[in-house]
Amino acid sequence: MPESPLLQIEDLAVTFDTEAGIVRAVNGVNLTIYPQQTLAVVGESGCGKSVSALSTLQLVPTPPGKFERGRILFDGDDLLRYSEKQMQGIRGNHIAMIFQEPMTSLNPVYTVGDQIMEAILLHQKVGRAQAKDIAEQALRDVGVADPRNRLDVYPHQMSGGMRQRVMIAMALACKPRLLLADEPTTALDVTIQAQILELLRKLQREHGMSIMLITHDLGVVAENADVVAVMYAGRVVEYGSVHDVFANPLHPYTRGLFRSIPKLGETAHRLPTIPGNVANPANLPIGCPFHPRCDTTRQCAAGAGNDPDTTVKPDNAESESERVMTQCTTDDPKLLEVTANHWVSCHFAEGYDAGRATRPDVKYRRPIEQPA
Amino acid sequence: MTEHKPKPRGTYTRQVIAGTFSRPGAKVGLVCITVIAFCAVFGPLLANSHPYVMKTTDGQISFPLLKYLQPSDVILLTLTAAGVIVLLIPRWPARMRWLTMFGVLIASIPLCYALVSPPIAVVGGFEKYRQMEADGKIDWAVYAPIPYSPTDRLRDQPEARLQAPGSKHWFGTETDGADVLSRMIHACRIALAVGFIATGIALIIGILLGGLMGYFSGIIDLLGMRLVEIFEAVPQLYLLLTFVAFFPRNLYIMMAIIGLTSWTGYARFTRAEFLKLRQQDFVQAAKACGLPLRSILFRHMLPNGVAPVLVTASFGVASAILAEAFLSFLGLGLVDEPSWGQMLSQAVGAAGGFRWWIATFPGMAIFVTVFAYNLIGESLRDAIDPHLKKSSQL
Repeated sequence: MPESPLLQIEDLAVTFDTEAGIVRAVNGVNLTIYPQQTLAVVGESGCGKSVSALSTLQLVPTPPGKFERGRILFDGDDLLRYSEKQMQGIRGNHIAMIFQEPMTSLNPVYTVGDQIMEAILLHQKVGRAQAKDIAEQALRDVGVADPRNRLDVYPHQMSGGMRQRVMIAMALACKPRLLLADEPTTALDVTIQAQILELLRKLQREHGMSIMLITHDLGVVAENADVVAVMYAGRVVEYGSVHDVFANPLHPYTRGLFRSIPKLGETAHRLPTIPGNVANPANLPIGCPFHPRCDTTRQCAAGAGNDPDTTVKPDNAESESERVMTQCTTDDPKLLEVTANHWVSCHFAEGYDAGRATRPDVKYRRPIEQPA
Repeated sequence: MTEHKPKPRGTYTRQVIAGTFSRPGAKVGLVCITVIAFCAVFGPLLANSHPYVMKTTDGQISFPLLKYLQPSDVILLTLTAAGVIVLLIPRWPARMRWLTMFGVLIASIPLCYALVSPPIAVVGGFEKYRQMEADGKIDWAVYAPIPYSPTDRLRDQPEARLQAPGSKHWFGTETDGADVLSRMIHACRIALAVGFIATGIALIIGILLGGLMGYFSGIIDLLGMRLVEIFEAVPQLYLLLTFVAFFPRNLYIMMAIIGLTSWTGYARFTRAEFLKLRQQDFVQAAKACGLPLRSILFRHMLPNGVAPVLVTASFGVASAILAEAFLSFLGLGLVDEPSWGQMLSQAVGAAGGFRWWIATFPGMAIFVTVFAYNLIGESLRDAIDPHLKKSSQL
């Protein structure tokens, strides 16, 4: 029986009309999430991870934001065509979101219980007393001790980790089918991070929901994700199951990310970095958006005796390296499936020329670990 | 994880109220407003020509004061009594309190009109008691502390006109013989009502429009701000003058005009707050929960942004009272109702005589009221914005 995906983002493009010009925050993103799957979206700040997630809930402010093209299919229905009223029925009920900053994501003037109960009362046909029981259970689920009394506490009386638990409890109170977690652990210290991620895994098993995990922490990805989408400058540059991407990173950007992680048992004074800054989404470079920072392009340029920053005219192309480099600076690579269940957009990637243009779609789910 | 038992701490509102009224300035202001509010509610019992109880020589005991109370007096007294009772019941949720007060208000209106027959043309009836007393028809009578109604012109005592303060008329009398203190007490009601209702109208319009402008920004903000500028260009006092010149004198129309021309400041403040708040994470989180716009705007954003608006509102109450006093001073206020501004205008007679008691006492009343609201407003501002705490400790 063919399994149907829960969420499909097809060729999504979101632009922001700002004073600095039109910013292409998301520029043709394709993602697929199956039920009970965890998709990790990785990338530097400003690469369009959060905007992709916010677009799914249509929380992108329009204007200045604008959906240029694409579809967001949730259970086969295009969310971009939904009215605001219909979206209110989706938000919190079918798709929930947790935010990066637990310190500011709770309303300071209401008690924790009021805020959890508001969403429950909105989406479920229950009375106040029943909603309070559900809220209490939600707090117990996320590991808050003494949940009945905690309901009457104001956010400022809680620590960051506790608040993030409350946020998760709020998001999960209505048992959503998809959870968008926008850097849920970035603002927390490492021990709390581990607890929160463990909690998310546990709740995923129990509720059977899918998670879109937005992060820039590759360790978190390795521990939690089934499928990885690496984003750069508003598009997916590499896509595959977590094993494929980690064992055999194909895109130079992904390789750069892995190199910049410190390794155990290795002495290094400075970690390798990817030179340069994230491409300015208001003014993307011509050709591959990554080429000004790309090692491979640099090496080719050195081989051809050229500076990669100066434009090379295609008719000068003679050597093989120069040919490829010209491609980098003029031709924007598409996301192609180079091996089974592994997509990449780089002219240099092994097998790229023979790659097939298919939609990124990986059904892989890691086997459920039995808690020891 | 900290597992301490949460301390029962007050809400933000309670903290701000406690912070405000712990300042000496606000305490003074609160005392002044309380005195004025007391006079407004109990005015008819404090200053009235009708005796509380009266026994005539033919043996009949009657309660003329109660008989001649207006329905509005009775409604106000019932509401105050209900309010005191509701506040005295400890640990009652705020929602229940408001509901009870509202219920009492609704119930008291038809009840009062049924029980109290509003006497029309009481004017001229006040002399009757003095006449009866002189004729020896009254066995005994208990009078109010100030035994003169605001419209009791003392026509039977022509020498009582323009009396300087004395033992009989503590604050003196006016041109037509009415007691100044009695009129001042009865004028408290208008002063309070103008301040609160006019500011209330302005607040509702300002918060609604400002909130929508700040939340939606873009074209709505652009159009809204132009509307604000248009209304800011309308001179309030000239509009009021024009209106009272062409239409019958009506206190409620005056309140509405003052309200309709002074909402722009609140709209600007609310807009600025909402522009700041809409970027906040908890607003995004509320949206991500699927809450409807009404809830996001008024449940999640408004309580976080209303504080500076309330500070301005307390100054707004003061300026609304001044506006009404100004109009009444020019003789454009209500005709027969006592008002501080209208009393002030009698301080200088046509022949140029100056009656210091008519100038001083109502003038002091206006000054004290406006001053009290400003004191409370300043303390409120300091309590809300801790950065200003050190600058003024009044």
